[in-house]
Amino acid sequence: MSTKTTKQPEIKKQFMKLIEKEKVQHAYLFEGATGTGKTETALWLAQSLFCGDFSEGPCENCHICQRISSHQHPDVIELAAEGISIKINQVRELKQEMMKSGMEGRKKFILVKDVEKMTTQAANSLLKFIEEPEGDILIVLTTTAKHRLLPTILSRVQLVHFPRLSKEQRVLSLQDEGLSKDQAAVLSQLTSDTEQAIELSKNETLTSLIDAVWKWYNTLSKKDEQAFVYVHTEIMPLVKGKAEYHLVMDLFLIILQDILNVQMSKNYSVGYLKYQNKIRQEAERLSVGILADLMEIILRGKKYLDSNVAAQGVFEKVTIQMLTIMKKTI
Amino acid sequence: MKFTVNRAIFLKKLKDVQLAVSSRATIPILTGIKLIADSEGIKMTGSNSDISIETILTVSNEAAELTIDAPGEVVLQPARFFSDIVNKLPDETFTVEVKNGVQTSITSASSAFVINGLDAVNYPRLPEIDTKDAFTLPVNLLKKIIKQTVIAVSTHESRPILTGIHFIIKDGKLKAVATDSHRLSQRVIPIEGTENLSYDLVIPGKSLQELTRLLDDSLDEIEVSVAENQILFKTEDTYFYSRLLEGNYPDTNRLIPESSSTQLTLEASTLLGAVERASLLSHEGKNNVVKLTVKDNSVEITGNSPEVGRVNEQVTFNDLKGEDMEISFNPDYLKAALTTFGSIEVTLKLISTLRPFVLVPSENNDEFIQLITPIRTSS
Amino acid sequence: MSYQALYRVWRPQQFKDVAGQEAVTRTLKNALSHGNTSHAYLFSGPRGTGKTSAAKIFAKAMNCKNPKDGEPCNECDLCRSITQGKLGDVIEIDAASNNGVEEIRDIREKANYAPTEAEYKVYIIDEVHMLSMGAFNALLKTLEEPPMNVVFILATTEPHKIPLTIISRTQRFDFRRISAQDIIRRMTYILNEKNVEFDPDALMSIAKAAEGGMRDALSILDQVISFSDGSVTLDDTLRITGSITQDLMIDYISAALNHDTEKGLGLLHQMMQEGKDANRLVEDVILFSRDILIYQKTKDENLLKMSKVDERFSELTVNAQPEKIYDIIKIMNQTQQEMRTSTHAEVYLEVATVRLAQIKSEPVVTTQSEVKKDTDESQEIQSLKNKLKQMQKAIEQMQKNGSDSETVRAPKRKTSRKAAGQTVFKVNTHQVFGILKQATRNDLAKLKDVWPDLINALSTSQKAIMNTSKPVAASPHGLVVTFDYDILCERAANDTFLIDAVGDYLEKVIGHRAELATVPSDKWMDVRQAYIDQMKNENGNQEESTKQEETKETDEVDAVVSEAVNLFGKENVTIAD
Repeated sequence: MSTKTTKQPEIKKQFMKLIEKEKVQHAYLFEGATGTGKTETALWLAQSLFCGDFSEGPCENCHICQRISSHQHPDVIELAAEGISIKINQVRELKQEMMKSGMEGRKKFILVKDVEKMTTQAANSLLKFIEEPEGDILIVLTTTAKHRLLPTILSRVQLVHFPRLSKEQRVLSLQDEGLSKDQAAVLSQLTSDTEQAIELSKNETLTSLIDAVWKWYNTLSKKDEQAFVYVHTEIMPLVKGKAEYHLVMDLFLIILQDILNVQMSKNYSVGYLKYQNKIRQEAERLSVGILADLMEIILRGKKYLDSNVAAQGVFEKVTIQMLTIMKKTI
Repeated sequence: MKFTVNRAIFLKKLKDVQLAVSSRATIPILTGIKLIADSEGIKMTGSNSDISIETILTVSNEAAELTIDAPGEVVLQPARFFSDIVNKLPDETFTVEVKNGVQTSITSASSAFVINGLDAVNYPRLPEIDTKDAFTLPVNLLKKIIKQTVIAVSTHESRPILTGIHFIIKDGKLKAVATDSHRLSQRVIPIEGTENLSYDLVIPGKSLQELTRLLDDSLDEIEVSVAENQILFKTEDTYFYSRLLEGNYPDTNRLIPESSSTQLTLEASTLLGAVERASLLSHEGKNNVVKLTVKDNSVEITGNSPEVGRVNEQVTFNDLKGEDMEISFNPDYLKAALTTFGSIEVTLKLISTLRPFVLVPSENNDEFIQLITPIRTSS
Repeated sequence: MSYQALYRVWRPQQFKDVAGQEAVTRTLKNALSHGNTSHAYLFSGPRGTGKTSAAKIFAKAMNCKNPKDGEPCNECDLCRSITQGKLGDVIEIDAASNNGVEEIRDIREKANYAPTEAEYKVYIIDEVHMLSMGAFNALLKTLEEPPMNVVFILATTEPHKIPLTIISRTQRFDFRRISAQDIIRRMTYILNEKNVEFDPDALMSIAKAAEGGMRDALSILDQVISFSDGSVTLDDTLRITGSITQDLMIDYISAALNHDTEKGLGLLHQMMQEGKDANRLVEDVILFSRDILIYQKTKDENLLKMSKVDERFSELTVNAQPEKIYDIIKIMNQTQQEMRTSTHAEVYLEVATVRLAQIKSEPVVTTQSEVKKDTDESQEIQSLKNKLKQMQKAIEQMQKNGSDSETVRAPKRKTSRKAAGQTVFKVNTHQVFGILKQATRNDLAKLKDVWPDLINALSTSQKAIMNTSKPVAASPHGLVVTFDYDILCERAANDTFLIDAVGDYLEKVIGHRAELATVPSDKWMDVRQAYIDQMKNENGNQEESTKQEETKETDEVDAVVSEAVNLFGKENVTIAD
């Protein structure tokens, strides 16, 4: 667990108040984008519950706190997807566990990560249990996709929204970690998870990809049909695997968003900092309608990737579509 | 940590502890055995989180030949691996030594193992149980109570609390009840020295079955203490912990009828035989139902499975009082209930065709009750 | 965690406490008090509307030792046991965990066992739609030949997944979404019992966020009470529900209606930064837009899903055009679909915001935009609008001849344009005539086709100029474009970048550059007429035939036009062809 400053001090403060007033409810849903500190806060909450040395918060040093953060406490149970979904037998086992009192004390804490990954059956069988659990239990569900949850689940929990850190904050904290200004700018646009951003920055392919995608954009913006060949010669060799295919699309989206938002607000901090002059030029040239069209093409491309259409085909297709649009511009 | 000990004695204790270890554990460290050594002796712990067993070997135990060179603790896993090693060691005694954190050497004669252990600080803590309010039970009686009530425990997860046995300690008595909503088993025994104690807990049926496996018939007494989340059964050198079930057990007193319209007294074994035979037919057929008819001072067991056939048997009894009666029931329930009585005389008390009936020992009939809900039939 | 959620503590224990389901509870009570109960029921409806609670109350009432008018007494030990979920004869089963044939068979078997204490054995099967087909069939058998003294209550939030064969063997009760009023009433009751202060607007916001589910409302209420310091305020409520304030919503919608992409995107980013949920936002925009339409039609505040009728809201509904609101809903609906399976919700919203601001038509007046130059002008607009209405009626009658809808529009445009003050633009008649000389219908058609795309392709500032432009005549090398405002004509004529841009575009799209001549739309007819006259004078036959060609095609239109002219005055009629 990171020893850096806490991600959501406001939320922790709120929970501290509740703990003091003994008004902590039995079921919460932590929802927010990845990297906003949901799991970290959930484990902090578990520590608060069990720590023997609790004063302004859990001590984080005693063997209880340590075991919780290293996922070794018998009464802090974490459930996550095995593969792509959380299945009903996992929930059955959980319910078995929950009908008993804790091992070290009466209390129990359950964390279900990415609860939107539950199969419908698993989710439904959890309902009664979330509504009226037996004993001293605190359940925390986390999700990045609240809209995908059954309304019957949402109805039974208290929602806690985990906001993203502001972009400026994230850029600064990435720079603190030693990233260059340019890197920090792009990565903070790519992900709001600081740790993930740092990980990505260590990926050498990433820097090449950032520049490759820019080159690709440039070629397209000059309406040069070379862009089509470019996919094959420059993009494909750099990418392998779905994550990287999406990365390419996401980087392209950042360029488009930069151009769009720079038009709207002079102070917009672009992601593609390195090329911001060209971006501003493009902003003069391309209308918002065109940009919206281009963004839609990329978004659709991402959907194709999700349906497992071959990446090269997707990149080529979006290239053609974008060329058509670009040709209509000045 | 460093100690030397007699292998055979150690193994015996280790086997006890291993009863509680499961290869499928909620947290990985529970696949191991925790060893602690201090100036008094060594303690071994095994647990699957539901039940935990600890045994102690003290230096004062001569047969154990135990010498403690340095105190300390470690977890060795998996448990089976460790016990296999100890089992195959050559000498009568062996030595365990932990150096460099968790590196554990196991040596015996010229055989030397070094295995990677785990830090015992990460092993779950069993609750500190205040033994001030402990009470004692005779081991044989405890085992019997468990065997007699566990048959009625629910096996369905739909009402989890019914998978346990309800222990109520009040007014100097222990009442153990189990029910799955269709049958119930209840035993009451007096316990000395518990007049001031009051406990109401539900222990998982499975845990108690494991307990009976652990307890030797040679043992005399066992000490029982209760914490808010676990119950501890303690012999001289072995501790058995079990987690408790959460929730409120239904009030079963209301279920047990006060009166009856018909009382039938007979040998448990006689009735058991007749029901067993009738159940052969009912098992073969589609509906597992057997009927008991009391009429004109005779008692008959009948079974009727369409497409299979029929069976009937006149049952010899010792005494019959009250109204004529017909009642249908699940023969397996009655068989299981009758078996718990052993070969004694029992009394069946019936109320009506659709109300539950009970079986009690014909003598001393307060302390043991088996209750069965009848089945509604169209005939 | 000894704190129990409001929705648990205040779960209704009698029919009279079940909110918002009067029809259902009344019928159930009657059946119970007359001993007219059935052996199988289906309670269906959205989440948090009282299905399980009603089922348990029903089980109590059936077995209660002293029921009164179909209500359980809640005092006898049977009632108490059932309330605590401890009675063996009332069995609650969750169909999701027990959805197989074996489980249902087991239930059927156990249903034959007599109840241990109560008179009736009641099985409550929740989320029954989760049963497998085999399980449904097994259940069907039991419903067909039910054991005596056994009642099945099936509950589900998805009745369409239940086979009709099952439904037909149950008495079906549909639980409705609980009205905002009923939810507020229940919350008020609870808050008064707990001596907690509250702002009625906050309760309204909670009720609307709950979308018909009482449990949802109480969960939100719980959260607001605990996160704030013991009272229920509107601010805290909005923070918890993640809703945006109505003011912000009006700002956003107005920005869209005013084609103010910059403002729209700015607001969007502000809302995202404040942590507003993207999916929630889309939903809110749709609901708010629908509220606008509903209020425009009915003026009934009670029908609104989330809005409060204050000054700004009223003004917005007065000035917003229904068609455009409709377009907003359409765009947002589509966006919602796309967003559902994406992790890039915000990008979708940016695109959507751009699209919303692109919705075509006349500018809308809102209190946010600059107030019109003079109040005099607004009065003039009003009188012209009235004349316009009359004209429209007349024209509608003549619509049967299939006249161009543009004809109808023309006068309208002229009206609004006239109101604004203008500089007078000098038409380059020489240039125009040159183009008209070689004008063909074909060229014009081609041009009209590409015109919207052309405008789209321009930059923001250029677009601002060209927004009201229309091609009215085209030759192989030139085109005549009208603008609503003289000043725009001026600008367009002098903006070499613009002219180049247009030229480039046309070259790409229709294959050749074109000379651009601009004419204020109110002058067009005159210019055209002048040209016709000139040609008549100069070149008799040739022009005749051309003119005849034109005349033939505009014959029908002329009839309408003359009527228009009669009503409105010649100088006020512009015919766009």
